Amino acid sequence: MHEILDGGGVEVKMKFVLNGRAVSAELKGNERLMDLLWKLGIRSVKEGCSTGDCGTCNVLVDGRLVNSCMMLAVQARNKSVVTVEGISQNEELHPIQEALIEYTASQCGYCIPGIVVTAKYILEKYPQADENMVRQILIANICRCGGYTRIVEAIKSVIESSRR
Amino acid sequence: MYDLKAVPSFDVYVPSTIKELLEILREKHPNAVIYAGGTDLMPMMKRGKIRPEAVVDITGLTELSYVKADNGVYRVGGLTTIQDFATSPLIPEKYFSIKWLTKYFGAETTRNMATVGGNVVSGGERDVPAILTSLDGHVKIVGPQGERLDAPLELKLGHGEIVTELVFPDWGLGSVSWFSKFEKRASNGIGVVTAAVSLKCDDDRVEKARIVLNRVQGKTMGRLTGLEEELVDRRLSSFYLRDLVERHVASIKPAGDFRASGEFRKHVSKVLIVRGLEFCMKYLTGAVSK
Repeated sequence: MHEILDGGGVEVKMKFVLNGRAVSAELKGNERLMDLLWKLGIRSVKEGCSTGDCGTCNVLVDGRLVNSCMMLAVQARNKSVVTVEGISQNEELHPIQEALIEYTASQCGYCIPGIVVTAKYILEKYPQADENMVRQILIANICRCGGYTRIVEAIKSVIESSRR
Repeated sequence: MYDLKAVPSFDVYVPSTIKELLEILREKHPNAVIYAGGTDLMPMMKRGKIRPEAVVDITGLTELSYVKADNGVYRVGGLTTIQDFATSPLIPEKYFSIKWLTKYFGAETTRNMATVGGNVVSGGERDVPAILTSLDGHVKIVGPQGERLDAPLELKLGHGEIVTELVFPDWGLGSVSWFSKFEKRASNGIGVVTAAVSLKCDDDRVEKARIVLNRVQGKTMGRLTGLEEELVDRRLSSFYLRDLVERHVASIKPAGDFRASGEFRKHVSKVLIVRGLEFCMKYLTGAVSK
């Protein structure tokens, strides 16, 4: 059955899985997934363009790479959402993050959480990706510092070492 | 450049069947706006172009997400994402127009969110209607009066109506379909010119051709029916193509805007159609690696 969420103020409960843990959250109808994640203490998800162009708010929903600024929070009901907080667990960095440090790929750092999530998606979905493919997927992750070359090299190195 | 607004307040309905959705549109909130991928709607709300009182999230209607091939007809559920449509193993490789959505339609995130139904009804970058038209496809609409089919370019939704399915016939042996977009930047942009070409041949004689441009008259998308007709029964050869295409493209009047002038669009339209037809010919005569 359908529920009705009142955007005027009444909050409604929703269940989903956040970084591997079942979460029950209260939200308003007009909340975006990004807004809900912030309310739940997730700080890696950044608001950049708010219109799906910059990739700074990218998260994985049921394994699919999406912009959390264009997805309504209710659309994540009963789904599994992964952010950087779920990629590096127990304070241990994921190889993607290690590589970004090794290649000094992060400058101001604002775009990096979105890039880490996008790289995770590439590793999982396109483990055979070549440089062209990596660049093609990263096309919608804007780095205003212009650090693209090192970002691409870092991700390439992770893909190569995961193949070994 | 943009004065971005907060997301307006609205009620959200979350139906899980088409029946529930139609009920909401009929009884509870006739003016509710349908939210699927949101890749068009959210930017419009953020830019203050639309302020819905109520929104219906239809992503719970899993029954509308599918690609099927039965008896020479392809059926694609309205809620199928662009990514799932483009990469469906049920659609053969020769439908390059569909396969290439992965390179011409937005970014990976956009393709993972945007749906074929949404692209057919909403005003953004209309690649799916162009491709569907080039394949003689139709859009299935369900509403208070039941079910009906409409052409993708003439589509007008009445009150309480929703798009449930795209349908197109298999073009059979000796056919191929092509699509391209000329953009101002390498990728993820809005097309200056987009063109879809489908061709079916018997041996090297053209049986059927479909040619669609994003702008034929002003901002209106349309077919070049004169060119389509003149191609029929011709033998495949690049020999006459340029002149023939030029003659027919001469009559289009695409509107200019900040992306490109009408004249430039006209020139690019000609180039793309020639390219498309040449690709199709080469593919059908075995000169393109399959």
